[in-house]
Amino acid sequence: MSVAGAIWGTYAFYHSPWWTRIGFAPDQPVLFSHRHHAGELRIDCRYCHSSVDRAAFAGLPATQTCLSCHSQIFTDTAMLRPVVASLRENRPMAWRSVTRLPNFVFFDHSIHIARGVACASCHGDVAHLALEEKLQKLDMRMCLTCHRHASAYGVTADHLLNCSTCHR
Amino acid sequence: MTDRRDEFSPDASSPPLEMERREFLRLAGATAALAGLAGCSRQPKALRPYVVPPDGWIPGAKTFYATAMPWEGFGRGILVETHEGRPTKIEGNPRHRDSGGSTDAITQASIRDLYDPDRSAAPVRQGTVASWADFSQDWLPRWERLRAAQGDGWGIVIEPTTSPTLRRLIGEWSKAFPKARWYQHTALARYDRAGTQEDYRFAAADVVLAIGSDFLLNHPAALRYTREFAQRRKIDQGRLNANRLYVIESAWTVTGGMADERLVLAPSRFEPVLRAISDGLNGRDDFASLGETERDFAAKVIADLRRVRGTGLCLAGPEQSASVRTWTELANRLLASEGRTVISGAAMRGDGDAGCAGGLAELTAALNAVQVRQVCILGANPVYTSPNGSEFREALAKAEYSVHFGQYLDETGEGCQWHLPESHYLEAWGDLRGYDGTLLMQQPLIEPLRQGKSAIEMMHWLTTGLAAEGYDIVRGGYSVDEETWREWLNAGVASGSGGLSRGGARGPHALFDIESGTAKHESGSIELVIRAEPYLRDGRYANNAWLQELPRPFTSLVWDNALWVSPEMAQREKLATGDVLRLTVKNRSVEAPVVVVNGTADGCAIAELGGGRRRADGSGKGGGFDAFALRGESETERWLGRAAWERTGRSMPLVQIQTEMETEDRHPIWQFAAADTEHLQPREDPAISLFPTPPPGSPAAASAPVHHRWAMLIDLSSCTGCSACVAACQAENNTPSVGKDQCGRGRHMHWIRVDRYWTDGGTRSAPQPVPCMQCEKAPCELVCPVGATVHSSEGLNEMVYNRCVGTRYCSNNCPYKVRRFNFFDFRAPRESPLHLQENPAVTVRARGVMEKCSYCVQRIDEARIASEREHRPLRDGELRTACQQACPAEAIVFGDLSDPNSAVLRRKRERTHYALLAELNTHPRTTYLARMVNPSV
Amino acid sequence: MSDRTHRLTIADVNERISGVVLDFPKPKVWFIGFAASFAVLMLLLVAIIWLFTKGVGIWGINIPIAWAFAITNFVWWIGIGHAGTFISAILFLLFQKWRTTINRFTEAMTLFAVACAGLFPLLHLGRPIYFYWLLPYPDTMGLWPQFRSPLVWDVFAVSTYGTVSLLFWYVGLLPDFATLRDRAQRIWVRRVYGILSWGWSGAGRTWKHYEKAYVILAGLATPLVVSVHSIVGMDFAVAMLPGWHSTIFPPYFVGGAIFCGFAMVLTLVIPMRKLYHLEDFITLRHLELMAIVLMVTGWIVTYGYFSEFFTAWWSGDVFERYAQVNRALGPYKGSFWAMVFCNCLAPQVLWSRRMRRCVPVLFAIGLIVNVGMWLERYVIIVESLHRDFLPSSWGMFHATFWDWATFVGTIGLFLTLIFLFVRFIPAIAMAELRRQVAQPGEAS
Repeated sequence: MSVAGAIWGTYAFYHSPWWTRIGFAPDQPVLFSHRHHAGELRIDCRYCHSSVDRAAFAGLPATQTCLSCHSQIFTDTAMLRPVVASLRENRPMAWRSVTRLPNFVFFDHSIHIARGVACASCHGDVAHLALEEKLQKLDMRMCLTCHRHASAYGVTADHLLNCSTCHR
Repeated sequence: MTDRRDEFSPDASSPPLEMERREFLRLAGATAALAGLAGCSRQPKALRPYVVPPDGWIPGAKTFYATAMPWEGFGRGILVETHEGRPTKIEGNPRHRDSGGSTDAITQASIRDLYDPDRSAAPVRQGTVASWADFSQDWLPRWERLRAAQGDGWGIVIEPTTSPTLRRLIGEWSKAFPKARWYQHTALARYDRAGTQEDYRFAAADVVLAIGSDFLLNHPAALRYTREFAQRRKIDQGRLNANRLYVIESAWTVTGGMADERLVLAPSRFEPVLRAISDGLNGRDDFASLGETERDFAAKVIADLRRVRGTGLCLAGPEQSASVRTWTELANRLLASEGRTVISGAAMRGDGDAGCAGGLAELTAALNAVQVRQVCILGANPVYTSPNGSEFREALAKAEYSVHFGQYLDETGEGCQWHLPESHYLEAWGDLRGYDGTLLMQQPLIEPLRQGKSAIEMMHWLTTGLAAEGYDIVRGGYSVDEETWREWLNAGVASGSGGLSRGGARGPHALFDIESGTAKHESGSIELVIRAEPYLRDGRYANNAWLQELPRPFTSLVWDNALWVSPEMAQREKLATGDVLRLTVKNRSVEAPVVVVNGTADGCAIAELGGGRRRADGSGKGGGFDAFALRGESETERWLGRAAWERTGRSMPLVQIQTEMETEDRHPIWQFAAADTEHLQPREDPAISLFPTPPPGSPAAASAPVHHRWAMLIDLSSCTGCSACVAACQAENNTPSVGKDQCGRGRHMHWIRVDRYWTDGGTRSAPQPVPCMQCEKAPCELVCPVGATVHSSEGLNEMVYNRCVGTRYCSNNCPYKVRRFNFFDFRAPRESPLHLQENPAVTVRARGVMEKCSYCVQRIDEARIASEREHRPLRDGELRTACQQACPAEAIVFGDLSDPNSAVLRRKRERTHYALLAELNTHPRTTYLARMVNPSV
Repeated sequence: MSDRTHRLTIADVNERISGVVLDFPKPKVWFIGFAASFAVLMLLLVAIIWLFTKGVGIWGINIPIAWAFAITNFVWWIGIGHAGTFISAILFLLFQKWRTTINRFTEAMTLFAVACAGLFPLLHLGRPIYFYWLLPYPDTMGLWPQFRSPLVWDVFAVSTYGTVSLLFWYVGLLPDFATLRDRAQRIWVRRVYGILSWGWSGAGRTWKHYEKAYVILAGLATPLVVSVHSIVGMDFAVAMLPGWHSTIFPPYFVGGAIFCGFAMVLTLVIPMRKLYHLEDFITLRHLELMAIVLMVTGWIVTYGYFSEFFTAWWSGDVFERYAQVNRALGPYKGSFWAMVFCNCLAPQVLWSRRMRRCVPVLFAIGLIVNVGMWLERYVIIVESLHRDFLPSSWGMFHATFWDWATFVGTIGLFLTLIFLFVRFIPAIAMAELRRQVAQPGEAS
C-alpha cells in the first residue's frame, strides 16, 4: 500500500504544475504583453526574436528593437521607463526565461521554423497572454509526438527519431 | 552531480550577454540530474540581450578567424573557431601551404594553453605579486640611465623568430642602444646553414634517403612534407606511384616508421656507411668497412639513387653533425637533385642575424665578466633549457637587474628579479613567416585573459619607453592600404608572399670529412642521442595536459619521458622498463627511467628533452627526467654524446597506454608490398547472416536507407601515426585528460587512439588509428539495458549520455574496445577557466556515463541543418570530422555511402580495402586501406 | 531417517527448537558473533558511502576490464541462494523427507544471499540513481528498457526470485510463529509472534489451506531454481567475448550455483548444530546426503570447465582458443589453478564414506568450494575481459581496497542477517518435523 502511495506521490509530483511550471509567469523588467504586440498589433514573432530562423537560439529583443517603435510612441509612459533607462545607461534589460531545456537537449529553432513548425505548436498561443507564462509542458514525450508523425508537417526525414537529432 | 551552468571565472573575458549558459554559450554541462536540479531554482536566470547589438551578430553562431601560430619561431597558418568571442578550436589554414588545412597535435593542443589556469597572471617581483605599474615605476628610471649610457651593460635574450615586426623592432632597439647586446637562444635545432635553409619537394622525390631526420613530425614544414610524402604512398583507383624511403637512424622516429628500408645505426657508425654510399655514387663500391646489414642497405641505396638520379633526395636532420649535413648537400649535388627535390633559399628565421651577439654561452661569459649588468629574457627559458642550467643561473644572479618575460613563471622567471606575463599567441597582434616564406598575419581572438603583453609590445616598450598597442606597432610596419591589409587579416596570409627566394649563395663547404669513431660496447658507458620530445618539444608545453597524455609513438608512454635502450642491451645488462639509471656526463648526472624499445641501436640510449621540469605548475611538474643536463655546448654535443651510466637499483612506474604491440595472429594490419599491387586479391566482406538474402527488387531489398549512410575510411599506407587526430578529437569533443595515475589504471579517455603493431618481425611498425567502428551490427547496442546506445537511421552507432546508467556492458561487448567510461567526475573544477574551451555543441559528460567516438555527430547535425535551411543537399566534403580535418596525411576520409560520387565510396572500392576483425561480422562502417610498404628487391 | 530422530518426541522438538529462540542460550557466543559480523557490515556501509561520493572509479575496474568484483560477487551470492530453493522446493516435491531439518535454514540463507546479490547490480552502476530506468514504467520520455539486453532479464529474474523465496519462507514459518506465540512467556514476545503468525489457529481448515499454499509455492519456486541462474549465465553467454560466448553457460551456471549453495549450507549448518546442540535434528545422514549432492554438482561444474576447453579447441577460433589458453597459462593462471583445485579436486575426497561422515572435513570442503566458486566467476569475468580481440587494448585488473571492502562487507551483511535469524526465528521447521516425529512410518 505504502509502496503504491509512494509511486503515486512521485508521479503526482513530477506531473504537478509546480514541477512542470505550467502557468509559471516570472516577474519581468517590463510589463510586456504578447497579447498586445503579437495578438492585437500582429507584429511578427521574428521582429523581436530575430535569430529564430537563423540560429538555434531564438534571441531576445535588444533594447534598440523595442525603441524602434517606442522612440515614437508611449515614449514617456511609466510602463516604458525601464526600457528608456536601459538605453540611457546602456544597461541590458534582464528578461526572465519561462521555457528552458536541460543542457543535454540540443534544440535548434531555425530548422523547426524552416520546416514550417509554428511557434505556437510548442510555446502555445502566447498571442493571448497579457503576461508571458509557460503554457505547455516541454518533455521528451511532447517532442516525440511531432517527431514521430513528421509527415504531418510534410517532413519526410528518416533521421528525426535518431537520438543524435537532439542529444549529442 | 551538481548544476554546473554558470561557471565564468574572472579569467573569462566579460561575455556580451550574461545568460543561462545553455542559451548563451550553448555549453552543455550535461548530467541528467541537472534536468531535475534546474527545477529547484524557481526564479530563472536573467537573459540579458544587447542594448545595441553588433551588426550581423547571430547569437550562438560560430565564427572562424584566421591567424598564425608560432612553431619554434616559424609561423603556421591556422583558423580559429570562436563562439561569442570565445576561441574553442583550431583548424589549419588551407591558404598556407605549410598547413594546407591540416594541423599537428601541438597546434591542436595550444588552444588549451590559452585557458590554462597556471599561466602567469601578473608581474612578479622577487616572488611577490606586483603590477605593471610597479614594474614601469621600477624600470623607467633605469631605462633612462641606460639610454644615457647608450645601453651599455644591457643585454636582451630572445628566441630566434621569423616575425618581420619583431626583427624590425630588435633592429630599432639596437640602433637606439648601440652599446647594448642582444642574444638569441633556442634549445632546439637550427634549420639554417650559412644563411640558407633547405626545403624539400617530396611530391617529386622517388627515392628519399633520410639520415637521422624526423621530417614528418619534428620540422617546421612537417605538415606540408607529410601531405606531399603521403600522396606518394596512396593507392588510387588501383594505381600506385610509390616512392621509396630509406632511413638511417638510431631509434624509431615517426619518419623511421614510414621507412621502406630502415638501417638502425649508432651515430658513430653513420660515417663509414655514408662514406661507402658516396663512394658508391661515385662509382667506387667499397664495402670493406661495413657489416652485413650495413653493406646490404648501402648497396640498395646506391642502386636506387643511381637509378633515379635527379628525383632522388638525401636529407639529414638539423640535429646531425655539420659534416653529415654537408654530405647530404654534396650527395644531392651529385644526384643533380638540387632545385628539383631540394630547394635552398635564404633562411627565414633570424638565427644567423648579423647583429646578434651570440648565444647563451656568450651571454654567460658576458654576465660573469660583468659586461652585461641588466638582462631582459624574452620568451625563452634558458635556466631550464641550457645544458649547464645551474651555471647560467649563477651567472644570472650576478646581474644587478634581471627581467624574465614569458607565459609561465618558470625556472628562469624564478631566477630573475622580475617576471612579466607574456600573452598567449591567440591574444596578440603579430606577424610570422612560414618555413616556406609565406607572410602570415597574427590577430588576437580574445582580449588578454591574464593581463599579458606580447613580445612585440614588450620590445617596443623597451625601445621607446612608451607603451603602444600591438596593432599599431604591427600595422605601422606595413605601408599597404587598408583594403589589402583587411584582405590579409581575413585570409591570414599576405597575398603574393611565399615561395623560397633562391639563395644559391652558400658558404664554402667543409671538405668531405666526417669525424670517425667506432661503436664501443663497453658496458658502463653508452652513446647518447638527444632529441626533442615529440609533443613537449623543449618542455615549453609541459603544462599542457592534452600533450602530456598523448601516447608517444612507439613507446606509448604518457606523462613521462624515459631513456630508450635496445632490447639487446636490456638483456645484456638485465634492464627492464622502469628501472632507473644514473647517467653522468662530465660532472653532471641525471637519474632517468629506462624504456626498452625494439629497433633502437644497440649501445645507444635515446634521451628526449622536455621532461623533469623543476618549476612548472599543474600538469607540468615533475613528469620524466631533465635531459638538458646531458647536453654539451658545442653544436654537435647538443645532440650527440657519451655518458657513463650505473644502476640506482630503484625502479619507477612508467605508464604505457598500449602494452602489447605484437599482433598475436589477430591480423589487425594488412600489409602489402608495392610490387604485388597488381596481384592483390580484394577481401570480400563476409556478409554472414542467418536470414536469407532478399531477392533483388523485393521490398526487403528495396528497404535500404534512402538518406545518408555515413562511413569512414582510414588509409594505413599514408598514416604516419603522428596523433594529430587524437588531439583534434580531444579539442572537438570535450574529452577530459585524466592524469598519470588514472592512465595507469587503464582509464584514458581518447575517442580515437593510434595503435601500433610490430610487423615483419619487429623490423617495421604499423600505426593504426582506431575510432569507433560504427558497426552496422553493433554488439554494444544489443546489450545496453536502457537503450542508451542505439543505431541511427544513418548508420551511426549513437551514444546517448543522458540516458546512460553506466552498466559498462557495452564496453565489455565491444570487440574494438573503443568505448570510454567516466569512472570519476573527470570534468575540470567548476570555477576552472578550462571550461571556456569546451565545444558548446557537445555535451560535457558527467561521472558514470559511457562515451565514445560519434563521427562528430554535432558537425553532421550542423551541416545538415544548414543545408536544409537552404533547401539544398549536403555536398560531399562539406562536412569533415575533426580527425579528418586535422590529418596532415589526408589518411582519413569521411562521407556518405549513399552518394555515388563520394570520395569515401571511391576509396572503399580500392583493392586493398579491408575491415578490422571482419570475421566477427559486425559490418564496421569505419574501414581501412592496407598498409603499403615498398622494399627494394 | 536416522534412528536417532525416532527417539525424539514432539515435545522435545518444540522444547528444544523454540527454546533456541525463547530462552536464548549461550548469549555470549551469539553476541560476539553478531558484533563481529555487524562490524563488517559497517565496513560495507562505509564502502558504499565512499562509492556514492566518488564513483565506481574507487574500484580497480577499467577499460577493458569494466566488470570485476561487483559482478563476480553478484553471481556468487545468487548462486549461493540456489541451494535453499533447491532443497526446500525441489526436494519437497520429490518427498525427500530429510530436507525437513535444513529447509528452513537454507531458505533463510537463500533470502539473505539474494539480498546481498541484489545490492551489486545497483552498486556497480555508473549512475545508480537512475536504476529505475531498467524497469518498464510509463515515463515522460516515452521510452522503455531495451528488452534484448540480458541485464533487463536479470531485473525480472532476480526480483521474482527474491519475492517468491520470501513468500515461500514466510508461509513455511506461519505455524512455527504460532508455536512460539503459544510457548512465549513474556507478553510482548507473544504479541509480536502473534502478529507474525497472522492469527494462526491451527484448525484443520487452516492446515489444509496452508499445505495447499505451500505446495503451490513450491511448484512456483521450482522453475526459478533453473531460470534465475540460467539468465545470469546469459549475461555472459549473450556477449560475443571469447570466454563468455558459450552456450553451455546456463546449465553449467545452475549446476555451479547448487554446488556453491550446498557448500554454503554446510559451512553454516555445521557450526550452528554444534552451537545449539541440534545434532539430533541435523544428523550425520543429512550432512552425508549434502556431501553427495556436493560431489555430483562438483562433477557438473568440472564437466563445464572441460567442455569450455573442448569447444574452444574444436572451434579452431583463434580468439576462443587464446582465451582458454590464457586462462590456464596467462598472468591470472594462479586463480585458475586455485579454482580447479577447489572445485574439481577437493570434493573428490568425498568418495570415501568416512570422509563424508567426518564433520570437520565437510566443513573444510564447504569453505574450499565457496572460495573455488567465487574464483570461478572471477576467472570467467576478469580473465576473459583482460585479453579479448585487439592486443592493443589488453589490460590488467588490480583489485583495490574498496573492491575487497565491498565484497567482505556483504559477507558481514549476510552473517548479521543469519545471526538475527537464529536468534528470533526457529531455525528448523518445527511443524514439519513434528509430523515426521509423529508418524515415523512415513519415514521410509
